[in-house]
Amino acid sequence: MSHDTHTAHDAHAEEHHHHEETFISKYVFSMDHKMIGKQFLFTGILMGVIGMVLSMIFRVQLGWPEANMSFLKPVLGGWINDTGKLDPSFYMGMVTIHGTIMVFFVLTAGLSGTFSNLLIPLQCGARDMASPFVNMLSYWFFFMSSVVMMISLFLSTGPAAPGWTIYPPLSALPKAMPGSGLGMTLWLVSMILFIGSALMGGMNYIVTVLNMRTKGMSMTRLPLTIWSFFLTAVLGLLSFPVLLGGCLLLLFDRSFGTMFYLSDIPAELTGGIERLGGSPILFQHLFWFLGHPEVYIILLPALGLTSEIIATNSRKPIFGYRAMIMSLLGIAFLSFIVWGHHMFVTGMNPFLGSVFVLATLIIAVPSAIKVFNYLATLWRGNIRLTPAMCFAIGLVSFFISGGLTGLYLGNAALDINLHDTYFVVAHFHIVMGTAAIFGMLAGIYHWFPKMYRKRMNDKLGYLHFWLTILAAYGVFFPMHFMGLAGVPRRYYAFNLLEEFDVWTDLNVFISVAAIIGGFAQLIFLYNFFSSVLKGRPTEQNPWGSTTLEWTAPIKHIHGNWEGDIPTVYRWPYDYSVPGAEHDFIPQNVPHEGDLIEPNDHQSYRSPGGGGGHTDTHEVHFSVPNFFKKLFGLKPATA
Amino acid sequence: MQAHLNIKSQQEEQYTVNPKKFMMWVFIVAICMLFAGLTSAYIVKKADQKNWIDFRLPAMFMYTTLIVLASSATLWWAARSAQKDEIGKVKIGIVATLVLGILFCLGQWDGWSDMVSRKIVFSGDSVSFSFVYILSGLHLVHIVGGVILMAALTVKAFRYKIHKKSMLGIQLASTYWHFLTILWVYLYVFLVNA
Repeated sequence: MSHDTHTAHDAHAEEHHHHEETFISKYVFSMDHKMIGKQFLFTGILMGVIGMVLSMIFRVQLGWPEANMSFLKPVLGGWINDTGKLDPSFYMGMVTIHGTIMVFFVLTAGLSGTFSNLLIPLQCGARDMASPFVNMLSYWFFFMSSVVMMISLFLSTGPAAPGWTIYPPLSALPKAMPGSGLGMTLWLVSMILFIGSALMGGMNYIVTVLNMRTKGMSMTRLPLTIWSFFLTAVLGLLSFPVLLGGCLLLLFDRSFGTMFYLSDIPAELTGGIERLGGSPILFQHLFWFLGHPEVYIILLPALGLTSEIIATNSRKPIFGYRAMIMSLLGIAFLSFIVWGHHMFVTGMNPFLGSVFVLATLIIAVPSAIKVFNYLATLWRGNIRLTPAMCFAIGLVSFFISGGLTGLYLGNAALDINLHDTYFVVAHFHIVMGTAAIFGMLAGIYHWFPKMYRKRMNDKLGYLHFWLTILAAYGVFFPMHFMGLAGVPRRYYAFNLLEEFDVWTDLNVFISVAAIIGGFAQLIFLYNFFSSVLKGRPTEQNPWGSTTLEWTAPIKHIHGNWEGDIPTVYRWPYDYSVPGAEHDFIPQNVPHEGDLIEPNDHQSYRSPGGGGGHTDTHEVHFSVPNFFKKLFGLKPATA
Repeated sequence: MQAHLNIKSQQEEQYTVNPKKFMMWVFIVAICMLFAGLTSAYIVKKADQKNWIDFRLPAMFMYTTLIVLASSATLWWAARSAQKDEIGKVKIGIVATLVLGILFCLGQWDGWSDMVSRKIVFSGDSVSFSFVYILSGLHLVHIVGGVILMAALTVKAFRYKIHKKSMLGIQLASTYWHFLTILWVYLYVFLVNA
């Protein structure tokens, strides 16, 4: 044992003395999970800014459809015509790219990529990911995918425009409209690269969590962040390949003359033979089989980050740790059997529809458990309202208000009326868009000291929070009323039909809120980058947190810990333990009376089991044991 | 960097399952989902498509099924020989697998040519044609990856780097290759009967 750890220690020290990293290997083709996490974060922030600017431009169009928009000419060039009007087909392109960027590039790769990479090895107690090389590839696939998507914005025919769900036949016929041409092909290429990235990342996360936890870190001692990242990766692994299949078939339909999704299409539209017999509904099935789990791929990491932040800043153990895990598992499972609720108006058999309604409404149960547990954790806690905590509570607020409208839309009878109206826009922006963005921002504020060894400015953080939450509700709350009244989404302007005139003022209000919200993000960007450069330095554990990442040295090193990896002796939520010296006890502090290994208690698992009190059944993952513990049949801590 | 890698390999010895092996299984799950999605699409289309055309698969596909089964057998034999440190047999087994793998690719190509000669083309009159090309083609893409893996393994074997104490490479390749064999048998049976 001691021999082993000494060699490890020596080898590690050696690395720091002899190995000089070049700029390329440290910052560009880095294989260090912390650097890869930061790369995902930077790319995610950049893409987020682009997506947000697009949304501000089309909010200007919707708020003031008659205004002269020549002032945007320097940015949009030919897409503003001579009379100062925005080109309608470019409007469709912007809506499509806004959705795509926000759903995939910001909230899938930017959120999960950043925090899974940063936190999984640090909180599990591993030196790095299972395969640092595949991890690096995952980032660079994501990067290439982003570049291809950005290139498509600069095409003369414009970017892809059939909406982010790219339903055929609009997406399958290159001649259907300008946005169905090369832009759509690039969209598919970009998405295929993206799926590659997501799969490689997900494989790494799953293997690292199941396989590379440190000694004593049983599955029921994992922080909820890791649980949510793990289940996110499982969802991605099971659903992204199906989207890959769907996208490949679409690509063949577009470019190679097959007809999976095409029916009754005359020859002049295809530039060749008449297409018969295909079914666009098939694409919707393949798309939404990914599309619905994708909602939880976005949301679960945000919920995980929130669990951690709320427990830490309430100085209380998370309420119902096992219930939280069970509800995560429940949501993950249910997310695979509800995709049909996106398709109630496709002529679905009513019986099948009611099955999807039932499954959808059942999701309310685990979601409600989570909300209850958040509130119960906050209840009578010693709450510290850090900016991260504000954003985390903001997420809970959005999760409630957006979740409630989910109950409306999950009902087929109501959804048939509300389908493709602003009600849907309001619902999903609140429950997964804004909520997940708030989770991501909370995570950035909370783990910024870990990432950059500096603190962010709190005052600017509060300002950012209040402006953002007010703007977000200001934008999305009124949309419910528009949707209930039947205002359809994806319209270029609402001044052409008389019955929409009543909404003119509300549209102006929404646009003003959106623009304020957009500019509020400048505060965040300033705060972020100025703190990276010259923020005040942080101590090792600024929030008094229990999890392992705060036991690692402030300075980032390859392999995360100097010397040996810490051993875990307790669950991650030992806050305010009666009789303890501090109001938190880190996971690597032994219980009184624990048998501590001679010489050091921070050794990692040795081939011979290593002695100590922790029996191997605790350490290694086994399904029956795990469920026994989860249901409380066996105590989790030895 | 080298020192860091040493630590990793030391650490890896302590895991109950080698992370790389585990990752291979996870990768296989992802491939399964891709084909599950596509074969479900096949079933749905066949049920509701009016211009669906059933046709006879090329006879060559039956021979390639036998070839890929044989290649799995030779690889299994090579891995077993490596476990016994019989390096000569390892070389023969891996080269045989490589050759059979290449034969499989040529056979699939021949099967497609046969279909084309019968006017069953990729963008033909019915999606049933397209599906056969896509399912066998995507499988072939994975097999080509496997053949590259076998070529790398051949080089390794001739450098005497596959033996009882260095089994990881051949074990990973075996897991992948046997999976592809099972996948093709599944696809073949599926296409013949569905």
